[in-house]
Amino acid sequence: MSDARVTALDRLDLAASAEQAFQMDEDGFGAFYERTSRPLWLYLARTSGDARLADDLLHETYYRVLRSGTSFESDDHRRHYLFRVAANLVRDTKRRHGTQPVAPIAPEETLVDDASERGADRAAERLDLQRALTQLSARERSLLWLAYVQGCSHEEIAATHGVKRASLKTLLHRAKRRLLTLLGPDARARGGA
Amino acid sequence: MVPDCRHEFEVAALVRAGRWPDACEPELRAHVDGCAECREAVTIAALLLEADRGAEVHVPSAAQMWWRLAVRARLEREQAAARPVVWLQGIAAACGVGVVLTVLGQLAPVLSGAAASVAGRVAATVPTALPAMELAGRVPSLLVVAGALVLAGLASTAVYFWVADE
Repeated sequence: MSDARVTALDRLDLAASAEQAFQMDEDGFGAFYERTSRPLWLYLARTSGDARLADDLLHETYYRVLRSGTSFESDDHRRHYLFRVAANLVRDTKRRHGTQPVAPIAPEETLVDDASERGADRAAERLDLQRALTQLSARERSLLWLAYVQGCSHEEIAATHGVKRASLKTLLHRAKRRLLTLLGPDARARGGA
Repeated sequence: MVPDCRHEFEVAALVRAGRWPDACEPELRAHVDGCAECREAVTIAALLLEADRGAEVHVPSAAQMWWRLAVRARLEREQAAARPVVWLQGIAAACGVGVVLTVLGQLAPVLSGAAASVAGRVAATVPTALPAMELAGRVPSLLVVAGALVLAGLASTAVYFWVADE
């Protein structure tokens, strides 16, 4: 019968082999993960529309990035590569399993801040946004997130989605207009413009 | 023609940094007031960021994630290392079966001769057994074929269990 316990020696061996396989040490990964895991999970959940799938894809994305063997010029380069891998994974998963209905992600403040009037307004605004986002395509959601939340350049987004820069501008413009139309005339005021 | 403004991403970056509208240049604010693209960029960025800030996110800790990734990398490495061994075992087993069949093929005439000689002696000693011995004359070649089949079967079974154990 095999012994399932993990000894300290096993852990050391595992850590050493991981560092060799990933070309990155645990501390370096930890710092990178702390900076990127939350936005990456949100991006995966928003674009795939499935929080459980986002958990799986989060693991897969980091694994692929670490195993890629790509040398990164900077942390920003690594971060953009991470989102590129994530976008491809979401696209491949959608292709394999078809489009799932988009489930809204639970907003934290609706649980804590529900009593105050401002909290209730914010919750309603978020719900409106969630509803509007569900009506966009996965690609439109991805474009908007990469451009306005992640701050990726047009070149990076075009490379991520495999489209030309000129086409990307059109796609992004349409996605933006579509979201604003779905949100209605109050959206501009709510957004603070 | 799609409307395009070079300040669009700059404005979105200010929103992300929490510097819009109070901590930005007055010139840029004036530009945004007159630019529909930039105004939309501010609206979209503010809405999406606000939604993300308030979202409930539970991701594994960095240590947990590192541990899972390390275990997976190790498993995949072990599987990759074992793959050539399995192939080699299969090739070795096929070679073994081939050798057994070749040896049996080479021995077939010798075995046939020996069996015919035994049958002839028995026929000479017991004349009544002659019809049975005529039949027996064909037995040696059948025995060789049957033996080869049994050996090939046994060899394949042994290889199966060997590979399955690995």
